[in-house]
Amino acid sequence: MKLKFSWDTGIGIGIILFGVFILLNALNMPDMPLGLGPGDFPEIVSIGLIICGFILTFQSFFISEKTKKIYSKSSVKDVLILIFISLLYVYLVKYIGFLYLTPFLMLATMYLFGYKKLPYAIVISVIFTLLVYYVFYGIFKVPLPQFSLF
Amino acid sequence: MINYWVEGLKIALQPNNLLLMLIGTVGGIIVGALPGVTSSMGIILLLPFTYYLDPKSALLMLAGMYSGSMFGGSISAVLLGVPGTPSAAATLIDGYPLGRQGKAGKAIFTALIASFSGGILSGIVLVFLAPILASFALRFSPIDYFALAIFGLSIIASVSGKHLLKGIISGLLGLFISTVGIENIRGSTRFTFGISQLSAGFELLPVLIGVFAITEILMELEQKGQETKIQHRISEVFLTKEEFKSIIIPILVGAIIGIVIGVIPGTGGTIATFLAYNVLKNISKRKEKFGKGAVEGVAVVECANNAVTGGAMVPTLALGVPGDVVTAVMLGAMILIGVRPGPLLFQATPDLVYSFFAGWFIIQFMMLVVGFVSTLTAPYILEIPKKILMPIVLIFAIIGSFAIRNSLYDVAIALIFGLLGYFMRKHNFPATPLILGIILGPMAEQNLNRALILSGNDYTVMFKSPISLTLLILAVFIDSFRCHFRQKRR
Repeated sequence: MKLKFSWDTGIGIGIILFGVFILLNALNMPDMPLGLGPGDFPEIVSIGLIICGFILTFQSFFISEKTKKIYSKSSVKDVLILIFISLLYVYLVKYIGFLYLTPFLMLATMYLFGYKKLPYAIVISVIFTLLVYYVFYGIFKVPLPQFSLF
Repeated sequence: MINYWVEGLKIALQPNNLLLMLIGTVGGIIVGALPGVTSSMGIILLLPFTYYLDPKSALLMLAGMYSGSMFGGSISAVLLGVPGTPSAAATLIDGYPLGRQGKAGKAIFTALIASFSGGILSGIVLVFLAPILASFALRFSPIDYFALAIFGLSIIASVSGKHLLKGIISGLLGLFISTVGIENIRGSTRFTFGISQLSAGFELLPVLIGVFAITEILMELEQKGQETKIQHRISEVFLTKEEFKSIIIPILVGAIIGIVIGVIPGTGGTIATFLAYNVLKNISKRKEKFGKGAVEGVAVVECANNAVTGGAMVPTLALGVPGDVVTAVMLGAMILIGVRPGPLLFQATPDLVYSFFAGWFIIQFMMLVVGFVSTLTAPYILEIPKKILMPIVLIFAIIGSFAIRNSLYDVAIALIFGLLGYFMRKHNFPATPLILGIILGPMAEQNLNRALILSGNDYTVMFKSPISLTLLILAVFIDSFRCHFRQKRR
C-alpha cells in the first residue's frame, strides 16, 4: 500500500515533536504534594498534542487532500515580503519615529496590494499618518515612538 | 434592583457615554459592512480607542460596536452580494435578489427594523436571565469553575465544523500558550527560554490582532485585484403597510430562535440565522416566494442575527464563558479594559452591569437612526478599495498592539501570530479554538489546582459535584446538538 505524504503529514509530525518538546520541559518542573505542580497542566496539554499529532499524521496517509495547490509562489512571496517589511518597520521605528516611517510602510503595503497610483498613494499615506498621529499621540496620549537617531 | 437601574441609566445617559455609544455603533456598522473586515476584527481594531476610557464607558462603546456590526453585515450582503459578517450569509438568500429587483433600500431598511427588534427583545431576556444565572453561579466551587471552563472549551467542537481534529489541536495550542510566563502555583517561569518579555506571558490583544486582523490582511493580499463592486443602488427605502405587517411573525420567529441559540455557548449567529430561515420557510403558507426576494426572509434572518447578541451576552457576562466567536473576542476585550465577566461582576460592580443593560437599549435606538443614515451613505463606504483599506487596517493593527504596554515587542508578537494564523487558515486549522484555549486555559488550570488542594488530590471530585457533573454532561449533549444543526445546515 502506497502511503500518501501531504502537508498534514508534515504538520502532524511537527505537532508530535512540539508535544514531546513541551512534555520533556514539563517533566523537569517540580511536583507539588497537593494540587497541580507547574508542569502538570502543560503535561496534559502536551500529551493531547502528541495524540492528536499521531491521529493527524495517520489520517493524512489515507485521506486524500484536495488536489488544489495550497500556496502559489507569488502569493507566498507577497505574504513574506509584507511580514518582513512590517518587522523591519518594528525594528526601525524606535530610531526613525512613527511620524516619519509610517507613510513608507503604508506606501509599501499599498504597492504590494497593487495600488500603483504613486501621487495618490503618497497623499493618502501622509494624510492618514498625520491623522492617526494626532488622534493617538495628541488626543489619547499614546507615547508613539519618536525620532531618536540623533 | 430599581436603584441599580436608576444608577445604570444615569451613567448610560451621561453625554460622553452617549457619544461613545454612538461612535461605537457607527464604527460597528462600518466594520460590519466592509467585507474582509469581520465583526471580531472590527472590535479588536477599535479596542485601542477604549483603553483610556473608564471600564463602564469602554464597555458601552464595545456594546455599540457589537450590535452595530451585526446589522452592518446586511448592507454588503444586499449591495455587494458578499456578507459583511459570517452571520449575514443567510441575508444573501433574499436580500441580494431584492437588490436585483431595485429594492436594495427596502431590503436594508427591513434588516434595520428586524435588527432593532432582535436587539431589544434579546436585551429584555439578557437583563432578566443574566442576573439569575450569575447568582446561581455564585454557588460554584472551584471544581465547578473548572467544569465551566471545560464546557466553554467544548465550543471548540462546534466552531471547528468538519475540521474537529484540527480545532482540538488549535485549542491545545491555545492552552499551551496560556501556560507561558510566570505561573500562579510556585511563581516560577514556564517556557520563557530566557526571554524576559515572555515572563508576563503573551498579551491577549496582540495575539487577537495577529490571528484575526493581520491574518485577514495576509489572506486579502493573496486575493489582491479581486475587488467587489456594488451591484445595486439605493432607491426606495420604506416598507408599505402590507410589507410591514408581513414581517411581524418573521421577527418573532427570528427573535425566539436567535435568543435561544445565542444563550447556548458556541452556536452563534450563523446557526441561528439559517435555522430561523428554515423554520419560517417551513411554516409559511407561501414557501415559493422565499429565495426570490421576500422581505420576510430578510427580516427573520436579521432579527435572529441581532437577537443572538443579547442571548450570547448572557453566558458571557454571567459566567465568563463566551456565547459565540464574536463574544469570545468581546470577552477578551472586556478583560483588557479591566472588566472580569462572571458572577462576581454582578456582586462587585452592579453599577457597571446595569449601566451596560441601560446602554444596550439606548444603542438599539441609536442603531435605528444611524442605520437609516448608513442605508443612504453605504455605497460610498463600500467603494473604498481594499488596496487602500488593508494598509489602513495594518496601521491600526500596529498601533493597537503597541498601545497596550507601549511595547514594540507586542507588535512583533502580533505579526508573528498573524503569520501563524495565515498558516493555520491555509491548512484549515480554525483560529477561534486557539483564542478559547488562551482565555479559558488559566481558568481551567487555576480552578483544577484549587479543587485538588481542597479535595486532597481526588480527581473524581469533578464527578461528585452535581453542578460540575451537569456541566460536563451538558458539554457533551450540547455539542451533539450544535453538530446536528451544522450537519442539517450543510
